[in-house]
Amino acid sequence: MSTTNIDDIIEDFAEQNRHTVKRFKSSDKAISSNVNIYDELVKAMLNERMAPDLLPYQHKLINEVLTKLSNQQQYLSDSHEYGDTNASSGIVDGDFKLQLMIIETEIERLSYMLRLYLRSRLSKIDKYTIHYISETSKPEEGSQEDTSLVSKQEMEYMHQHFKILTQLYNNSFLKKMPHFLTYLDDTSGGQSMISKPPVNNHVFVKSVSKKPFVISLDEDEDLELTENGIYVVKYKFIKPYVELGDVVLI
Amino acid sequence: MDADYYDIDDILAEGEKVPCKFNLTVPGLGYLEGNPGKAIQKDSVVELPLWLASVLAICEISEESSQRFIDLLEPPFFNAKVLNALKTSAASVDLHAITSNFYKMTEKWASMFDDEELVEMIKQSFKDRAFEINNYANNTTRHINNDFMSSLDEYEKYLFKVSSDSHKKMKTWIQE
Amino acid sequence: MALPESLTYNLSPPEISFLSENEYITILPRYSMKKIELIGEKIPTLRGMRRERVPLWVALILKSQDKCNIVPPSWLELDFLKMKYEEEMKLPHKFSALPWHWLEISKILLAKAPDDLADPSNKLKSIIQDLREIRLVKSRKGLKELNESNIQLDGLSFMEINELRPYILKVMDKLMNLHDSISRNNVEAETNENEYEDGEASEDE
Repeated sequence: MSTTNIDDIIEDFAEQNRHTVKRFKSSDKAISSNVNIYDELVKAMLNERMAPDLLPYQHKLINEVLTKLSNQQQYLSDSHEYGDTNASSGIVDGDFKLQLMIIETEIERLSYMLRLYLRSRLSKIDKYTIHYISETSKPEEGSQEDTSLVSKQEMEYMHQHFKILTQLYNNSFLKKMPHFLTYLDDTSGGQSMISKPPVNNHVFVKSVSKKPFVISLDEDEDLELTENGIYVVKYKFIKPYVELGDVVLI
Repeated sequence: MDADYYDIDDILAEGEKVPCKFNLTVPGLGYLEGNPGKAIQKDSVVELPLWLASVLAICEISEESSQRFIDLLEPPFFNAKVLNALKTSAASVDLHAITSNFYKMTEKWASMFDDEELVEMIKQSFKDRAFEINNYANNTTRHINNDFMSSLDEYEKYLFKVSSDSHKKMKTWIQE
Repeated sequence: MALPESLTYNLSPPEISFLSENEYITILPRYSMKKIELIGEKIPTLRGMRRERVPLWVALILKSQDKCNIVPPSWLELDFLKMKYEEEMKLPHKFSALPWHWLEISKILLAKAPDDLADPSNKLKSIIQDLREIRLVKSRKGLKELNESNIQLDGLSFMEINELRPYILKVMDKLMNLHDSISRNNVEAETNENEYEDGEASEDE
């Protein structure tokens, strides 16, 4: 095997790494125009999919994705119209159709990612409904539109979900029970009825911070995370770094 | 770590019966040892479900006395025979026959008695057995050893399922 | 159900493969094509025979229309993969460096652009299979020493991690639960120390 080949490969890796760093450096708070919005969405989806608890809703990112999607869709339907009316005149060539196909494919890829993101959130809202209802009813929550844990639609979904669930429970068996046994959120007697996300559980993380950093674990243990290192740690210890963007869940 | 209220394995583990010794005579409880209408005598040994036994073993009989209603006796799942077998050859022990939620039981028992030695030992057995489970999960084509599979505790069965599903999905993807 | 149980805290191989299609790859266009402003990225103007880097999914569309050839990544080559295999043999405790999406991208290119690869597909497939297997055996051995706290898993690719994920997480979570059944007691014992000071001492070894 020739040396040039190896050099090429190293070059390739270096390039990839540069790429990754650039991609992940800016946190979601400031989505500038040179950040690839698709990559941001993938990151948000993976974080949400792998985190045991609900991460703050990515208001800014999702709004931007939705706006861009609808603009692109508008462009696509305009272009199709243009293509249809000019098909016979010979102005429209195969090139044009191919371009539209690429644009359409990207729209589908983005909406798929968006669906995965939202589905991961809904599954957690379903599982821990009562917990998140009480989390989101705290006074500091909900006041700011851009930072709330759940979106307006999710909030509505969550309350509706809870309503039909309690209705079902009531109609099927709770109404036949003595009143003191009908609670769904009793926390007395050392046992809470409210299911909570298992934040102690382990998750896979990849460090994307250029600078190595140290996180503290329980029992006075520390762990240094270096760039591109892959670790399995308890979620509760890594959560702040997920939100800062120093690590991504994988 | 708090158990989830709806965790069925947790509920089943708490329903498991453990031997207890009564520290006083209680009128009317004779039915626990098959003598309905009679009293249960001091020093009688009966089996009670863990959820009940653990409460009675903690409650003090009266304000002045530190004595409890019952004493928990060593349950058969943690007797010397079982523990020795786990130490010598963890993978060949039929945990399912001992108690189907062995690890949940260990957690509950260890937290009541703060039995660090027991936990350390069972952690090691779990690691040994898990390693073996993963080997089986990887080789879905190989003849499955039914004895081993039926000797798994409920969590181990779940571990086998998620591991072998993952390997199967990977194989399917590679071949498609 | 919003997400099936098997997909919570987990990904399916096709999902990871989908993610890999956004890696960049070099193409050699056969025709020109005007640039495209996509939402995620910009596809530059393509000119015949001038190399350009585009996302893999775009390359695959162009390829399927016979509009380009794909320049295979330098690692997708028999000699290089053989060298990696030897490395895996020589260093039993280390994984050789392979791209984050090596399994996915090689599978996609073998299926969609076999004519663009430098080496015969069947030979590439077999060395990839060998590499995958030796790494799998190695990782399985490494999994003997899981613990309740943390591990580092450098060198494995996304797809390989995903395959091992359910096992690793479930074992570590259980070890943690067992471990915590004691620590929790210790914490409680500490906070309740004063109340129970004159009770029976029970936790001495």
